[in-house]
Amino acid sequence: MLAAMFFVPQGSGILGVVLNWVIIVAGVALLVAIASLVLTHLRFIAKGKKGFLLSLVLVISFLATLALGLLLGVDHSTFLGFVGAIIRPIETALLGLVALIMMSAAMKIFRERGWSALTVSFGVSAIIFLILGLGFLQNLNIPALNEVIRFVEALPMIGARGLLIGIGIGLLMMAFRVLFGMEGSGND
Amino acid sequence: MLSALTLNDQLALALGVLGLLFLLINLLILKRNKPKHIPEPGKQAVEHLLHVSSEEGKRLVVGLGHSLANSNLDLAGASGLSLQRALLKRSLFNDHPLQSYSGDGVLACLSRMVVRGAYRGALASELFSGSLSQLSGTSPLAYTSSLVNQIPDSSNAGLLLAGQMSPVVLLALDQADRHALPSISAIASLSGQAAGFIGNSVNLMGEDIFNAAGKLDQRKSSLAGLGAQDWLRIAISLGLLLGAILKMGGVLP
Repeated sequence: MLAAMFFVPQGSGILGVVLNWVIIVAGVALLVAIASLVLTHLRFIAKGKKGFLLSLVLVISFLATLALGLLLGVDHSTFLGFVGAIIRPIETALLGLVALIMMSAAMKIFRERGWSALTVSFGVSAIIFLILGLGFLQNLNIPALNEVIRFVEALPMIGARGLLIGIGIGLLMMAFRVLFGMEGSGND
Repeated sequence: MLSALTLNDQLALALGVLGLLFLLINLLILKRNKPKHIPEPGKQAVEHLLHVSSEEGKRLVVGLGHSLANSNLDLAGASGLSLQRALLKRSLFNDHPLQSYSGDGVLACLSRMVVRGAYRGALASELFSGSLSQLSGTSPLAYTSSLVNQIPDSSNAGLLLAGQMSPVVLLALDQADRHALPSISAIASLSGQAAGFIGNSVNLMGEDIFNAAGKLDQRKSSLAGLGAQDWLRIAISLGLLLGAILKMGGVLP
């Protein structure tokens, strides 16, 4: 398979089949995981465990969504509207919360980690990139300034590449350990 | 056929072969003498947290991430499983065993297999419960909101985040901070690492995320992988220097 990846024209047929298998297996795994989750929460409800009301809400909403999806079909406009009307406001609220927490965390970092070179450079770089992101400096159309902006905007990638190389190396080793069965299911 | 490959593909192939060679050499070396693995202070935090949870009779919560086979195949999403395995082996018979949450179906199944294997390996299959490793949301936001809901429990000793996560996980880190819950983040994405940095957690970055367990994971394959990583890092550094020199000399396009 690894060899097929490098000789794409010849191996593309095999790759396509294997990818289809992966999609099917991933879908089945998700079904198994969801079934396990629902059964776990049904057990919580049956035992009256602390927080069983939340489990009841989960099970009822899951069954209602499943029933609607099966009856109407997942592409039906009513079903999509129903699901969207619940999910979109919740996700929007959470994203808004993330923005607020990011702001407070940015302030908190100086209190928690002190005014060190790392935190000060973090704050200064955040302000610089915020100003660059606004775009008004680029709109001045000064060639020398545009060159400086282009250089500054490339700087984060230099640091990120170091991290990405490290992650890539670790990922390669983990992939080899998985391929050769060294990462077992836990029964070592 | 190799000539049909681009320079990038050839380099990737060379790095892969080199990595495999280094791993095999390190496995052979390990058989002869056992090199010490000296973890950095960040990785000792996991061991410390485990001791605290055992002493206080509380549980550790592990977030394994929400991306392994969801929208794109990302093997980095499985980086938390080795941490889960290392912690499980030392907390199987605690008052509150390790609790894991995944946001991906395949990851949830693999995590369950790890838990099952740990109990079976300890000849305590009767103590296994499926609720110890749960699917908790199929999207990043659903996963994070589920994780946030688990944090305020008074029986928690700490929060560990290991795997592929979006920066939305900052919600969970902030919640842990508000409840004075020690947290350790070993997130595989750059934006997730940034979220861990600005949160009040012990933050592991780069290749350290694949060895978050530190001294707790003393398997031959892990130690050999660490040695191979070091050698590969040196090889890549030398390669980059050589590439820069060749580029400046006009040899490389």
